[in-house]
Amino acid sequence: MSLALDPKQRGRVSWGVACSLALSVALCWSSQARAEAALPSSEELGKVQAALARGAFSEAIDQLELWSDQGVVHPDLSFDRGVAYLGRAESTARRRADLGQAVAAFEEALHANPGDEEAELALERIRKLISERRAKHDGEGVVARPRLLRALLGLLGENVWAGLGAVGSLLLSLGLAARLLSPAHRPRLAGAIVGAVGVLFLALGGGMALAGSRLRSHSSPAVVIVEEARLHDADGRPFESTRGPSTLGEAGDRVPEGALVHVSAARGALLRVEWGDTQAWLAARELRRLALLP
Amino acid sequence: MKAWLPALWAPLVLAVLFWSQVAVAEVDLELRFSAREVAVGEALSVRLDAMSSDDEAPSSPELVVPDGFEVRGPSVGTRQQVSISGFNMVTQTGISATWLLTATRAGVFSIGPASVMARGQRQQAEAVRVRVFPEGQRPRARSRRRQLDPFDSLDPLGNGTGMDDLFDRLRGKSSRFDQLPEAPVDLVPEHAPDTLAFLAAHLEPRRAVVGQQLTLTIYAHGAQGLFQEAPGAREPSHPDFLAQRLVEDGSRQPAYQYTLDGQSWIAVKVREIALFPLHAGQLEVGPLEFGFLGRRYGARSGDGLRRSTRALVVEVSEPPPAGRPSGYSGDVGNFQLTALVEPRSIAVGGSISISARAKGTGRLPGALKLPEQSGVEWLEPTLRDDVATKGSTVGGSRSFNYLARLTKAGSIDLGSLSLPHYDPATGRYRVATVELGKVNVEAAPADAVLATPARAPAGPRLFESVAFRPTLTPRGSRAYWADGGAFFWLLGAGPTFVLGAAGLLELTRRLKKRSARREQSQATHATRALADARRALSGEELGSVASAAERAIYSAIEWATGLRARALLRSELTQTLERAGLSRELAQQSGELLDSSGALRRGEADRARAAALVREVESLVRDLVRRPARESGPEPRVEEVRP
Repeated sequence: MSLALDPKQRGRVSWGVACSLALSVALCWSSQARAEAALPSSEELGKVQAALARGAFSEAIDQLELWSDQGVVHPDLSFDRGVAYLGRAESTARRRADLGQAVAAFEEALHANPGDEEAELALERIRKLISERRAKHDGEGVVARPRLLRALLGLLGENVWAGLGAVGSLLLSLGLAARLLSPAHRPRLAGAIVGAVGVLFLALGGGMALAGSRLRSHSSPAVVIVEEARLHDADGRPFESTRGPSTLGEAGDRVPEGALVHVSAARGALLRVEWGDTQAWLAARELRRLALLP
Repeated sequence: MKAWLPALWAPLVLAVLFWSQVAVAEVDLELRFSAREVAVGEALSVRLDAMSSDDEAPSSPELVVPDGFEVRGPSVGTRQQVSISGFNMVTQTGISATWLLTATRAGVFSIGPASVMARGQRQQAEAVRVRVFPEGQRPRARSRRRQLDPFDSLDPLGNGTGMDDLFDRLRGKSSRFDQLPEAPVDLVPEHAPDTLAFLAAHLEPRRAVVGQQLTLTIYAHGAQGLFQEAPGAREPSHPDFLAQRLVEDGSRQPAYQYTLDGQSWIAVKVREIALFPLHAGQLEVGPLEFGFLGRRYGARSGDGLRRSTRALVVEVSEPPPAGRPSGYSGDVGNFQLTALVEPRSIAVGGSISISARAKGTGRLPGALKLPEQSGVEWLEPTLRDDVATKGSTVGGSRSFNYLARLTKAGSIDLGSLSLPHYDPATGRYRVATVELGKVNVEAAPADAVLATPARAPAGPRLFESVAFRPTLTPRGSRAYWADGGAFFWLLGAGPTFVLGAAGLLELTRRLKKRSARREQSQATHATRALADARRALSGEELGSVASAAERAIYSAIEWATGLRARALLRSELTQTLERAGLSRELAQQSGELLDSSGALRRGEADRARAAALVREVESLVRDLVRRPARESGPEPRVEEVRP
């Protein structure tokens, strides 16, 4: 594709692209440069590790939870908390919510560091264990697939969608430049085609990035930490099960331990959650909301 | 004949015993209520104890609650109970689920059944009927001295006292006003808010942390002599607090006298309630509506003289995060710990008893922080409370009796029990600790068979498949491009910039074109020709004046009508110009001026006529040029204009 732009016009276009890139870099830098809470030292972590080694799981959990309460957020700390809860869940000192808390901690680690394969594997195993236990007691587990939009966002990652939108914007700019500024027919035709492709990418990528941003700003992830959380309606009455196509299993009115839900609103002691296709309310104490990196 | 009777009965009795054992081996359910009668707005606790003799503890407790109660809970705790039955040690595992129900309307309700899941089946306990009185009416049970019941969260002290009539009490003793003790200074208000009677409520402190004791004290002041409390008082609501009633009525409280503004008053404490905030925020304690009953207050059988307190608001915050010790679980007060460990020497697999006691002021702690370690298995404790009040301060002691099973031989240092708590008096966290010392655990003989550890975990240990991370890898925040406010602006910036640049170029091109057209327009030609005429006039070239004036007129006509008038016959000029949109006057004036300029060109040079012509042409050109330009039309028929 040849763009018949005179040197002056070409200079203007490249100046605009350069400005866009510079602003992008500035945006990324500013979001990464936010201050972090003071992280625990290696000695403090060593004490927690020693407590785990001698079987004092509660002591380790207390310290890790204290850091969490103080707003210290780090994927490795969340991972360690998951390890401590998992340890206690498999010890004689186990408590009822331990597996759910372990899932919440590993989910937190995975949210902060999506590439953490160890956390992903641990999550998979714990959820399998919970599912087996539920199947043993209740006969059938409950599975809820995420909504289509969340599935699509998870497919590529929000930044990839955003990048696609940026590529679309660039293509559209080039196409428009060729179409509007070039006197020759061929560059104008090529510009029209490139512009059309750019519009498509821009709409798709930008739309998905916008949807992802809105989902994140209007809802936050949480994990069920009780054996079974019953869904309610907005008035706190038991939820009449109307299962959507993404909810499998018989018990559509209950959410199993360790399930990831998304909280979109709070009213008193109830939280509105998205569970599969369902929007319903859960008691706040049955959930642990994940601490996300600032 | 009687000799064989035992032989006949014995198997039967054994069978019955065996059957009962089997039944017990399933699940023991016990449903306990803190009260069977409550008033609207009051809370009652419902506790379900479910114990199972197999390894799997019951789960998923549920309670059927009718409409008419607000339900909080359940809060579920696990329990393990070891007992000796005959020659067998029986271990029961189970749960204890507690709901807090607050009555919202009067009536008789059936609460329950309560149920749990055990071995895949739901086991349930019987429902219980509870009577709810209208708000403010006191259930009968409250008017009697009740048995001490720490399980009753509303009144664990059992301070309900018999209804005593202050009026009768004082009258019977022939009391006189001046025989009453002088009221303390802080009890006497600066001004009486009412001339007959009033209530004064004090809530101290007005700023507190979650879990800290607040004391609501209400005094009744009467200026009409002795009084008693009329029935049907409306009690203060306190949905955001756990409450313990310290004083339920004024019948057993001392009466004080004071004189204010020449009026004699009697003051009696009628309520005192210890309140423990459940959460942070601006929390409100509702008003008390109280009836003064006495000879000069109202009829003894009626509602009496009704007065009420104001609603009180207290600012409650969470204990400060700074200095919070690990393991802090919300206990507030001031506690000390003591503990006794017995025995100090046992064989491997044996159990020791640890009796710990937390004593102090504040709501008694629910749990202690245990020194867990491998080789020591702590079972759930049994609790025993000894709640006491000192003045208006709630406190006492709670005993935690643990059994710990030791599964490793050697000298085991048990570590220390601890109780992290926040002391509101000092504004600091404290950790009450007690060392448990060492226990000598003797190895089992080689031929001894150790009992399998209780509740040994089954299956592969996932814990071993994940490794603790002792160092934190530096990681930046997870940045989302779309979160930057400028991202979506940037998406649109490129195309907008290109569109803007193209638009700008187009605009420039159009402006240039317009400027060129303006340069070539007939109006410009007319103006220039006029300038030539003026120049010729000043240079005394009168012939040139006429031709310049003609050019100016033709150019102005072409600007205003689009007609090239030079090609028109003079005879047709006026009509043609009118048809082209000029007014009759302008059309005629144009023709006349063309005639005049022709005459001037052909005639003798007359400067005055030339100057007059230029002025008139100027006026005509101004009028014509003021009109919007019209495009030139098709060439008209070419004929020379002949004057």
